[in-house]
Amino acid sequence: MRLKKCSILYVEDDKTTQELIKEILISSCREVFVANDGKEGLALYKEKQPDIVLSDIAMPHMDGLEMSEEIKKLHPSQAIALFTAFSKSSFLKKAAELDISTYIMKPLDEEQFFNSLKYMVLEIEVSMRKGTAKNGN
Amino acid sequence: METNLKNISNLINNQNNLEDEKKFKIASASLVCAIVDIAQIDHKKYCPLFKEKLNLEQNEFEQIRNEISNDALNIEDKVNYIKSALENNMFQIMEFLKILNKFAIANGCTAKSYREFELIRDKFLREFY
Repeated sequence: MRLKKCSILYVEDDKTTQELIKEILISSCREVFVANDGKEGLALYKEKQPDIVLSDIAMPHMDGLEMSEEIKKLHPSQAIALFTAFSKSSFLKKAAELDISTYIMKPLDEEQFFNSLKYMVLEIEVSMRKGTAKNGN
Repeated sequence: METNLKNISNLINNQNNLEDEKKFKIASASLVCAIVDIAQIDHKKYCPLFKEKLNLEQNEFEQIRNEISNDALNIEDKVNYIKSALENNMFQIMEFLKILNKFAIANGCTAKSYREFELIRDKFLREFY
């Protein structure tokens, strides 16, 4: 599987950042779904079942960690990446418990960002090989 | 299934060779030390993790730590050694990277140490990206 064949759910409440990253993703992935907060993200996740979830952490209504927790309850092997500045250790403890695949550091380095996405694609391949991918494909 | 060295080493052809296993453990621990600031390592958190994930006793880790302190660490060499021991198999390499990721965030994490993890990860996976 390559990044071009992947669908991505991107959850971000900051409109400027959202537009910027959405444009990058649209040019590199098969489908991009965008949500404005965790609650909307979770609903969209259930509807679209994307291959990869990318999310900010601090958001209104439901934050990125709460959303990830709900998604992991539905699909434990779901590949999720969280944007972080690594400033809060309480977040990391929770994220480690949830077995979050990848962290994407702020400020964004575009090359590292793509490498992290490619890493997640490889993770999906491993899940498929093990038969633990959420769609069993 | 929880990822640990045992799962990986079972996949390595020369799994019964203790010398090779030791060399593999040393190379792995060296990479952990490159990611996490070795002077800042919290022993209470890391020793159980070293034991669980890399089958590495505290005295073995201390020995490696001292060796690294006395010698410049060649990350490229360690990465190449591990890749070769894992037969450059993408699936085994991914399992190994999951272990490294656990170490990277086990003690809280700084942007610097996560960046180091990313650089090492990308050295492992460059040809698979």
